[in-house]
Amino acid sequence: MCHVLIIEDEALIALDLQEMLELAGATTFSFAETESEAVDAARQHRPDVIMSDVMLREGTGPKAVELIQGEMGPLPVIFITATPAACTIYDPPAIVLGKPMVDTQVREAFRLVAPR
Amino acid sequence: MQTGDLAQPTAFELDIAAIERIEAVPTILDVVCRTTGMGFAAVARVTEDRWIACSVRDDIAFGLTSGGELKVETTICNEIRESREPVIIDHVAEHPEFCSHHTPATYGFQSYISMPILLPDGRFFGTLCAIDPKPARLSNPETIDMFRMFADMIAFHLDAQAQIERSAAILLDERRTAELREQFIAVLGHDLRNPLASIDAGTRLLARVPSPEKAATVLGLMQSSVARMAGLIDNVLDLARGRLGGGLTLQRAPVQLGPVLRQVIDELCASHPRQEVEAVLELDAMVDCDRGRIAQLLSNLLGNAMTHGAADQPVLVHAVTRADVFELSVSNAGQEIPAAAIERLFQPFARGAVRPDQAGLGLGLYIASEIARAHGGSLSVASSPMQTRFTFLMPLV
Repeated sequence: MCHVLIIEDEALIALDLQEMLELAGATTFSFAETESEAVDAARQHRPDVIMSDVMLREGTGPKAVELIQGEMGPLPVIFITATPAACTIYDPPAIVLGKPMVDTQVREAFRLVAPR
Repeated sequence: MQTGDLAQPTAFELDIAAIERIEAVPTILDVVCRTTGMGFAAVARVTEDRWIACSVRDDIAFGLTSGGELKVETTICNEIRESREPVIIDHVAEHPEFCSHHTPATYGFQSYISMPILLPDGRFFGTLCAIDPKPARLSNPETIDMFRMFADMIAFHLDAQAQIERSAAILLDERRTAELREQFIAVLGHDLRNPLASIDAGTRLLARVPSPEKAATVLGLMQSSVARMAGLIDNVLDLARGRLGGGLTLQRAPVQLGPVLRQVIDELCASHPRQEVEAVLELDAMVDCDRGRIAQLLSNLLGNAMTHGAADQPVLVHAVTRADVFELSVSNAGQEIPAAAIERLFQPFARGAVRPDQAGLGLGLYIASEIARAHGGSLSVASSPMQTRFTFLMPLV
């Protein structure tokens, strides 16, 4: 079992991520479009992996992840952003992928961090 | 948002300040007086209709100080402005021409010398001149060359100052353009890539052969991404025209704006079905405007109000033609815009100062204000904890 929280305000990207990750072994998903929705979704169902956009319609992905990890401890995160160059600071070696996404990169990154 | 120009110095004040900045001028006037034995010397700015002293040495109580003015038609400098040649009179009473000239009679001098100050680009600035009630020995090469050299020196300094000012202005302009370009690239790199990434994701979803229902949803979302990209490109082009080019161009014609505004409101209501909009359109008169641009202005204001305003309270649109003005306002409830953000609100890429918003480039209000300006009108904002209202006013001619 692997539950993934997808923080992404572009519906198509969220759907695409869901399908990619299903093929890579993810079993269940929560979706959030804003910072506060992300925190709520994580509280409802603790994710095993977080896939997060950076700029959200309200708030930011990194801020949401920080809040979630503050409550639940370290969780594997993959950031997906249109501006990867602006995301060099996230730790522990946070994986940052650029948009548009490359299917194989997403799945490879996911397999790297997903619990077996 | 208008500022008065009361603080702007006049051209003459700038000229006087420019002469004051040349440290050598008092020394020049001192040397001129001592070597010729004359009691009054000045650097004067001479134009077609004014003679103004920029720097003065007065040992004979002539009574003129820096900033003082003589009627230009009473001076000889006015003639020098036209001839661009120096005038030298050792002794007025013995001079065939000037013994009966009105200027020596008016000012009571016997000796006179005036050298034109010609800038390197050929423009006439004014004169370096000296007078005295007694005759003086001036018509000799030493004196004339000294005056010429001093006049050239003053001209050289004035030109150097002007060049430094021009360079500073160019530098400032370049810096502003560079800042704008940086923001432009950063924002464009992010904002256009998002809908593009959406379309890319959509093609992948379709490639996995979804159910017809899901395919229809995906296609709808892809189309809205395409529309968003088209909108972003339009905004970027407007920015390029407005800021980097010669301003927005309008195709004006008298138009009944009611249906135009109504269509914008209907379109935005369709894409924000949960947001209530109350519109009051009291448009008795035709408005001479670019209908497409006015529609764009309302669309930008209404789109902002729907995105940023309180979702549980209606957005109000009010359009009215009065005797000599067309007024269009959009109001929403919700958070007050902080005063610091209001200052930057109509600048390009202002959104970061308010709230990050992925729906646009932060160009909407800038473009709306450019549209207002192009119509000879104004766009202003008033924000309180109760309400934020944007008002477009344009004169009806």
